[in-house]
Amino acid sequence: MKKLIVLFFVSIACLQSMAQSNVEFTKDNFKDKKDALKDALEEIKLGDELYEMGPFLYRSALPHYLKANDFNPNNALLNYKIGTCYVFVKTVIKSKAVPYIEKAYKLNPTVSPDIHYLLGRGYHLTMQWDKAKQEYTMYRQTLSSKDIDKMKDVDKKLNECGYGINYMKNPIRVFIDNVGTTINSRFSDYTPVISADEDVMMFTSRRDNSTGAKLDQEGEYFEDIYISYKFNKEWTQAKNIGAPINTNGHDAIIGLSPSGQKLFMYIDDKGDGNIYECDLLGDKWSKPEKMPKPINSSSHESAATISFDGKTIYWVSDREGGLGGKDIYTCTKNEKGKWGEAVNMGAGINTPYNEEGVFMLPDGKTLYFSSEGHTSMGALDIFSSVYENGKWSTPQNIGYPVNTPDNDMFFVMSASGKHGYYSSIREDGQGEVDLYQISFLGVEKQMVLNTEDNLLANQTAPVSETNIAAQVEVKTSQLTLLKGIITDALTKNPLEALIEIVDNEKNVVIASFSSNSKTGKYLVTLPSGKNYGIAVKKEGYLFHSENFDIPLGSGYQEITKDVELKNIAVGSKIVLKNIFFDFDKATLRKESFNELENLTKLLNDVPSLKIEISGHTDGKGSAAYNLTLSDNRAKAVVDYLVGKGIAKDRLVAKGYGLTRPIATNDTEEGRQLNRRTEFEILSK
Amino acid sequence: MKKTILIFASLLIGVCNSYAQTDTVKAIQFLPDNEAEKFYNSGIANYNKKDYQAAVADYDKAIGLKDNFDKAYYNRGAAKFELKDYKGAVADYNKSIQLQPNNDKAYFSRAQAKNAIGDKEGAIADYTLAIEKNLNYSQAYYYRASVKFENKDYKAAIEDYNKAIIIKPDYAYALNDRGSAKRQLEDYDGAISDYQKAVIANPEMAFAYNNLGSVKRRKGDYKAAIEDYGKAIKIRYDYHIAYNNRGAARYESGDYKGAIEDFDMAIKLQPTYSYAYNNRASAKYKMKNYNGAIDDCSEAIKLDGNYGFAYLNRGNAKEMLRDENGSCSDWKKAAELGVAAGKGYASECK
Repeated sequence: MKKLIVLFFVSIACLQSMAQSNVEFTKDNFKDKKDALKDALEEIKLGDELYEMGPFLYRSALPHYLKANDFNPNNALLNYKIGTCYVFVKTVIKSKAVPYIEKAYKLNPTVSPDIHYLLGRGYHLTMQWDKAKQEYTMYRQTLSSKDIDKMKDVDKKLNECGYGINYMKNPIRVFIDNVGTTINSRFSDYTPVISADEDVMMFTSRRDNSTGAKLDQEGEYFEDIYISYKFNKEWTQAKNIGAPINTNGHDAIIGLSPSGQKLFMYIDDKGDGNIYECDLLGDKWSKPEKMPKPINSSSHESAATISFDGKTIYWVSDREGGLGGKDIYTCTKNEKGKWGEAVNMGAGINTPYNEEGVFMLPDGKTLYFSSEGHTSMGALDIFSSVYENGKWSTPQNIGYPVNTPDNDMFFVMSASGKHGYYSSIREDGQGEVDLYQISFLGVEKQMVLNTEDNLLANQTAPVSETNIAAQVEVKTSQLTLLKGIITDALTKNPLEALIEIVDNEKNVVIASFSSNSKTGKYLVTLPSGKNYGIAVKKEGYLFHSENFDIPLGSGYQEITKDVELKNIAVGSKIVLKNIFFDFDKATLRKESFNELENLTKLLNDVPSLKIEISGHTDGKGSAAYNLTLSDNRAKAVVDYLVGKGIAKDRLVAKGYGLTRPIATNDTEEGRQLNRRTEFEILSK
Repeated sequence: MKKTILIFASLLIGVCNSYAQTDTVKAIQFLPDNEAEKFYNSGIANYNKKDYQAAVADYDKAIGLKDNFDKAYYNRGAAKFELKDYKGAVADYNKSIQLQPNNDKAYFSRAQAKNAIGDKEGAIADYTLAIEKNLNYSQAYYYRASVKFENKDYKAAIEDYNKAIIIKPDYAYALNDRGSAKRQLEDYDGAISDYQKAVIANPEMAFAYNNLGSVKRRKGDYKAAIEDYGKAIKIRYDYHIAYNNRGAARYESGDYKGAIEDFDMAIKLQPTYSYAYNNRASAKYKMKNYNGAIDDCSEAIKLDGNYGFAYLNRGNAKEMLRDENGSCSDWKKAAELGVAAGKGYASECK
C-alpha cells in the first residue's frame, strides 16, 4: 500500500513536469480529438475577435477563452490572454488572474514582451508587493529610453507598491460589511448614495429585472437606480425606482442631497455624458432635468455632490483646460439661483491622472474623492481633504483595507462620520461588485497594563504602576443633524413647509429647504461654528422658530425636532426663539433682526392681525425687577415693529415677569426656556 | 550570644522585610536579690522566643519593682511594637528617653513606632534625634530616607541614602532604595547603576533584580529587562510580581505568546492577582482572542470591583466583537472609576 502511494506521487510529479511545456492547438498534438480541437479553435477565434476590440470587451472574450482552455490548459498565449482579461475586467476578483499569468510565463517566458508587466499587475492587484516590484523592475529593464510613457507608467506602479506596503503596515481600523441580500444581487451593484442620517440608500444596479431587461455590448444588463430604506435597523428589499427616472438605457445614480430630497444621476447622452437632477415631490421623483452649463459641457461629466446648503456643487468632468484626465470642478449658486463659473479645484486636489466619485460631507468642509494620483496604492484610491483657513488640505489616502490596489471609488459618508459606503469586489460578496458598509473605529484603543515593583526594600507593599499611552482623540464629524416631521398642529397632517436656516450673527439666510409634502419629513445639517436660527414657514400658519447655538469644534449630534405649525387663529401663541437682548437690558441684539423680519412679514401679509407681544423672565431676581425688564423688552419689540411701519394699534406690549414659566427655574436649561418673547394673536 | 541574636535579627529582616529593626539590650548580670533584673532577663528570653505577651508581663513586673528601670521600658516598647501596640511602644520609649536621654537606639525605635502609627513628621524628628546622638547611625539615615520617599520627597531621600551609604558602602537596601528614588525622578541610568550595586552587595535580593528590570523596561530595553526579571525569578521561584512584569516586558516587545505564559504563571502563583488577569487580557486582545480577553477582564473585575482599567480593556475587546452596548457600558464604568480614557471612548457612544 505504501509503495503504491509513493508510485502515485511519482507519477503526479512526472505529469507536472511534462505539463511545463507549451502545447499548441495543432492536429499533431490532438490526433484523437479532431472535433474538439476544431471547437476550441473556434472559441479562440471568437474570443480574439472581441479581445482585439479592446479592454471593454475582455469580459465578453473571457468565456470563449476559458472554454478553449478547458480543452488545452497548457497554451502559453491563451493563458496570457485569459490573465490579461482578468486583470482588466472590473467585475472579477483579481486573484483569479495570477495563476494564468504565472502559467503563461512558465510555459513560455517570452510569450509577450510585456509578460513581466502583466505579472507585476497580477501581483500588484493581489498585494504581493515584493513580487510585483520585482516583476515591474524586470519589465522596466526591457524598455528602451524611447518608451517614455511606459517608463513613466511602470515608475508610477513602483511608487504605488511603495505606498501600498506602508498602508498595509498601518491598516485603519474598520469593519467592512456586505450590506446584505436585500440590497446586493448576484449582478453588479455600485455607487451607493445615502441620506445624511443613513435612512435612505440609493444605488445603481445591473440586475436582470432592469428596465427593458436588455444586455449591453459588454454583456451586462443596463443600469437602473434602486432604493432601500432603513427600517428597524435593517435595509428593506431594494426596489427599482421606476419611471420617469429609469429608462431602457443606462440610468446611474451619482449623488443624493443630505436630506434625500434631490438626486443626481448620470446619463450617457450618446457618449456626451451629462449630469441630471431630480427632486422628490411627495413620493414621486420629478423627471430628470439636465443640469445647465457650466456644470454640463460637451465633454464628459460624471460624479456630482452638493453642499449641505444646496448652493455649492462639486462634480467630475474631463473638459479641456484641466490638469489631465478627469478633474473635479466646483461652482456656486448666486442669490437668484443661477450657477456661477466652473472652477477647477486646482493642483491641490486634481492631478494629471483621473479623479472620480466626489462626495461632500454635510459639515461643509470635508471632501471625499477618488484619485489615481496623489499617494494611490493602485488605480483609484479614496482620499479626503478638508477646507480650512481658506485652503484645501493635502489629500489623505483613507488607507488600507478600504483602499486596495484596484479601483476604489464612489465612496460616501454618513453625517456622523462613523459609516462609509462604497462598492467593492470581495470574497464574501453576493456576486460581481457589491455594496459595502464601512464602520470606522478610529485610532486603535490602547490596552492598559498594570504592573508593580518592590521599590522599597524594607516594605512588603509593592508600588503600582499603570502603563498607559496618551489618550486618543476620538474624531467625529463636526456637524449637527436636525430632523423631524412638520405637521398641522390641529389635524396632525404632514405639511410641506419652508425651512429657512439663518446665520444669526450675519443675519443672512444660509439655506432654505422644504419638508416632504407626503411625509412632512425634513432633514437639515448644521456645520459647527455658528448660531443658527431656524424658521419654519407656511402660508396660513404662524411661523415657528428654533435656535441652535453650535460652537466651533462641537462634535456630531443628532437632534430630532418635530414641529407643529399653528393656524393663524385667535389665541394662537408662539415663542420667538431667535429674539435676543443684551444681558439685563431691553436692547435688541442684531442677531434678532431676521426673526423680527419674519414677524413684520407676517403682519404685512395679514393686515387685519392684532397681536400681543409678551416678555417673560426666569425666576432669578425680584418679581418687580423682572416685571419691569420683561415689560421693557416687549416694548422694544413693539417699537421695532412700529419702526418697520406696523400700525401701533395692532400691537400690544406686555411684560409678565416671572409669573408665567413654561419650564422649571431650577436648571439653567429651564431658565433659558423661561426667558422668552412670545406673541399671541388677539384678533384677525 | 550577641552574635547569634544579631544573625537572627538580620535573618528576620532579610526574610520578612519586617518593619522592626529593634535591638534588644543584652541581659544583665545580677545579684540574687535583684528581682527586677530577674524579670527583666526573663523578658529578654521570652522576647527571643517571640513570646511577646510573656515578655511584656515580665517587663511589667520589672518596672513594678523598679520604676526608673530605663532598659526595661525600652525593651517593653520593643515587645509592644512586635504586638503592634505602637502607641504603647511610643509611651514606653518616651519613658526610656526621659530616664536615659542619650540612648540613640531609643529615638530610632520610637521613630519606627511613630512611623507605624502614621506619624511621619514625628518619625522624621526622632530619626533626626537619633542621628544627633550617633552621627554614624546609617540605619537612621536609611529609615529617614524611607519616610521621605513615601512622602514623595525623592531628592531629600537620596541625600539621606547617600549618607547611609557613605557610612556603610555595602548597604544593599539603601542602594536598592536610592535606585528607586532615582527611578521616581526618572534618572533611569542612575537607578540602574544603584540597583546593580545593590545586587553586588547582596546577590540574593530578588526584588532588586526585579526593579532593575523595570527601569530597563521603562527605557524600552525589553530584552535586558526580560533577563533581569528572569534573574529575580531564579532567586525567588514564586515571585509573581516579577512574572507579571516579565509578561509586561514581553508584551511591550510584541511577544504576546510569551507574555501570556508569564501572566499564566503569575496567576498560578497568586490566584487573586487581578493585575495579571488584566494584563493577560491585553495580550489576548493583541492576539485577536477577544473572547479570552473579555473572560480575563471579567475575572480581574470579580477580584477587584473598582478595577477601572479592567473595565476599559473589556470595553475595548467588546468593541472588536461588535458588542456596541457592552463596550459602551464598560467604558462608561471605567470613566466613573476615574479612567480618563474611558470618558473619551464613551463619548462616541449613543
